[in-house]
Amino acid sequence: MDIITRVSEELLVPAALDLKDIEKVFDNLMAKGGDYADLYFQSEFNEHWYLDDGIVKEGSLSIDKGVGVRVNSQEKTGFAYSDDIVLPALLEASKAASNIAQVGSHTPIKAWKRQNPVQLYSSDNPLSTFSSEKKVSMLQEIDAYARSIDPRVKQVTASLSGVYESILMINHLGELCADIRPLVRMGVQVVVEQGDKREQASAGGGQRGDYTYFINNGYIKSYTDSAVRQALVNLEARPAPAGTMPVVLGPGWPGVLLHEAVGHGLEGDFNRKKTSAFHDKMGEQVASSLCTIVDDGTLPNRRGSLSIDDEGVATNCTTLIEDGKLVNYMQDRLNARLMNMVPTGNGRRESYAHIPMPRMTNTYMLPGQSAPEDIIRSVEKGIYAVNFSGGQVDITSGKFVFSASEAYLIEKGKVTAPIKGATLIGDGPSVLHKVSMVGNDLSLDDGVGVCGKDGQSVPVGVGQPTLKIDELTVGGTQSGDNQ
Amino acid sequence: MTKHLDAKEMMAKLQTVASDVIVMAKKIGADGVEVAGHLGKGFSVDVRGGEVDTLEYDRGKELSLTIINGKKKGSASTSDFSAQALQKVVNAANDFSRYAADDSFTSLPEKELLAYKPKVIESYYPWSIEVGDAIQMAKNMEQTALQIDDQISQVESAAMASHENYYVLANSLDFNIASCSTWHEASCSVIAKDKANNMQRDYDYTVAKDWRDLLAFDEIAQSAGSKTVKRLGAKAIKTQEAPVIFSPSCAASLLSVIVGACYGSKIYRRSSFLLDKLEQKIFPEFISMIEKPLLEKGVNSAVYDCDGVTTSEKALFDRGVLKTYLCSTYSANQLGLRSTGNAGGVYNLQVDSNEVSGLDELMRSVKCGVYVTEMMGDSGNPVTGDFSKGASGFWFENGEIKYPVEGITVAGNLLDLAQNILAFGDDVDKRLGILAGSMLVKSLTIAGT
Repeated sequence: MDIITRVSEELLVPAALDLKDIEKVFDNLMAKGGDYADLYFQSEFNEHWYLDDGIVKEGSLSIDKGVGVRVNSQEKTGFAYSDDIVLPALLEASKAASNIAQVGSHTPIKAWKRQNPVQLYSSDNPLSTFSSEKKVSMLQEIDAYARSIDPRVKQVTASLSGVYESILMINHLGELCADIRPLVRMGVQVVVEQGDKREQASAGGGQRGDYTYFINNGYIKSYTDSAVRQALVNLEARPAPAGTMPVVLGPGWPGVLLHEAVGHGLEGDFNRKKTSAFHDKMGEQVASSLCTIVDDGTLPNRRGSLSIDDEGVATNCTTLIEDGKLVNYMQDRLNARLMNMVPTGNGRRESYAHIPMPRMTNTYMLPGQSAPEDIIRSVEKGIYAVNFSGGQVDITSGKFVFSASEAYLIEKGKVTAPIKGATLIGDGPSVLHKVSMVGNDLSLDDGVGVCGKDGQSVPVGVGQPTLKIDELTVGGTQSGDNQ
Repeated sequence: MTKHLDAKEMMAKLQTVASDVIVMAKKIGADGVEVAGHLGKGFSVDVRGGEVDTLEYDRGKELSLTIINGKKKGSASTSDFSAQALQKVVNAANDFSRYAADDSFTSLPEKELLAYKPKVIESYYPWSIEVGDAIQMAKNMEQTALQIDDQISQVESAAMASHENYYVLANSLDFNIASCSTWHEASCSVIAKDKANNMQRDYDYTVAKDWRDLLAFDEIAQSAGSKTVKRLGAKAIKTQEAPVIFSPSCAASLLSVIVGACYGSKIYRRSSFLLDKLEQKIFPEFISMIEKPLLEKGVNSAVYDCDGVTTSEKALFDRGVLKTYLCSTYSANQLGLRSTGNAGGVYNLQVDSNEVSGLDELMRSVKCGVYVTEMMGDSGNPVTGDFSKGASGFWFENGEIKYPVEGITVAGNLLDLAQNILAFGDDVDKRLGILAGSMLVKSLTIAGT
């Protein structure tokens, strides 16, 4: 059975909705005109297990199902949703949403076009392909293992979550497409104590797939090792320096730099509206020539990947910055149309109850030539940051932050003492000009990223090789030379 | 006040669904059940360039339940209220409970703490505004903001929203209480551009449970516009130690991390920098913080918490001293305490300070420093209290604002910061759950150029 048939049976058949009914909904939705309209049916099963204080305290399941209806007319969007998938609710929602358009009428759909994109991940349900006993025992293993590594481990919390999501998108052009999206994630957090000092750290990962991912790759142990190691390192951490200095970022998750410094600023909506600091920089050099940055939704099984985006457009590997030059924005259908550009498969939404927007998928920098150890060796005095707890950007002023949770001093070309967490702050349009070395060690993150925009959260990925920024402001507490 | 008919209907519907779920759960042998349900409806409209940008209608619902079997529990939630769907989540929660471990701290709330007859604080003020009128109001706001200064290049968004919410909370101790509230909001976000083509954005907003309490939209637009223009030309300052004044919203944001460290759930996990600090002096003696859950029209008012436990006014900090941890039924059980009615959070925390003055006086009292009006980045390390935030705002000298500042960080430790608060301003922000004015801190490390 193909994906469209499978998903239709889950979402349309129980409500006895057929394509004739859908046609009626579009008549309503475009009664006052419009350039584009779509319906987005979705169901999501989300389970969550957590361990705390040595025991698995609770498991939970949430079931959410509904449909969002949207019409675009010029720059306007009318939107409504219902968590009851039944014809009367659809007609009511479409009538409400139709109000933003003023002139025109809907041309009847001539033929339904079923789109069959390349599947980038399994369509099996991760919730049911693995027994509850096994899920519980994975969490217990984390707890026992963490406590066995070091007696200073005093608290362990661990979580396991799985999502099984089905979506069906139908638009006024008669295009029909569906996707089944599994997503799993595991997280470990530990608190360590030594005398009266306490510290914490966390680690985790995940992908679009099922829980065997964690077992087959030995991640139960490696995430736990990583959390315990980081927490113990932090026990020894000294106050971080304050001021502007060279910063070397490790490979993988520190790519959150790219997500904040340039990623958001290159989303189509902000550039169409000219609210992004990048809106007048297309074709210009916005980074050093060592930097080539892509947004790639096509990597099989990655957390940020999608076979199709939430508007039914196949995802792409879009080059955003090539050899330092700005060459592309990330687009959804609305902003691509208004900017006379091509949709790039970046139209995403948190759920049926949210409006699609241009969003990132997996954003990373391509590898360069330098050996990571040469990059470290080139720094007389600076910091080496290998893990981050997140970031934020003001796309208009271009100012962005990202907060290091594991970092070290570099002194005379050598990584020395660990330092406390510190926020790094920079300016998106200028920071990448200061990238002077790019490593040959590209890696992607472990699969825990969540990106928030306008109150909507979506899973994303980031990555980068080791890279050196000649000057970045480090928000520590030690100012002056007497560190 | 008589409630609208549909409010009564909505609440009655929720109470019926909740009691049906409890019956279903008991039928399959559940020892204890807790149910929370929500129905909401409303709209929001966003205007840009003299036209509607987005018009959004919301109509959603959710029901979540926890089943307790012996000392094991499981939970489930659904957005589908059909009998079939409800039976499905009841079964799911029950199944989950079988796989959980025995947890001796699991229990329903103490019966005598439950709000069987809750006080009534009116929070339901539906606004019978037509969407077309709301659009016009937003358009007017946009026009007002555009006219404030030539450097304003656009209004990114002028928005209006109005929502009605209905809730039910029930458990198998015959507790089944419904409530309703409204939420109205207007906001304006403005972009200005200087001669060098550098852009800045700022915004202002008004929110209220009673739409008649919303501030004049003209004022919001004007304030958003002038705040934005004042940020043009912002620059970083030298790395240094200096006094810092946090605006009311920034102060509330930092204080909320300290309040977060008071939660019982953080204490029993030993992941709080306020562990073992009960009855110790955290703030200077001139500062007290009082939880006032019953404030009329308060944004975070609640007569009972998320467990159904009656809330009450109490001091979290009395003359600087930490007086209590904030406990839910579960975290209280863990700590051998009684619930303090704080499942789901702290309900309106009022900062009382004996050192209060106008913002100008705060600035004059320390000669020079940074007035931080916006912060970015994570909330800091909850176990150690270390924080480091991106910041923007203004450099001030001798009681006067000199120039706008951005691209800097402020960093320190929250326990040190708490001890080094010198005074609060009289400019309390009533839109926030932590009611504080601007907060003057003796000295913090500022990283810049």
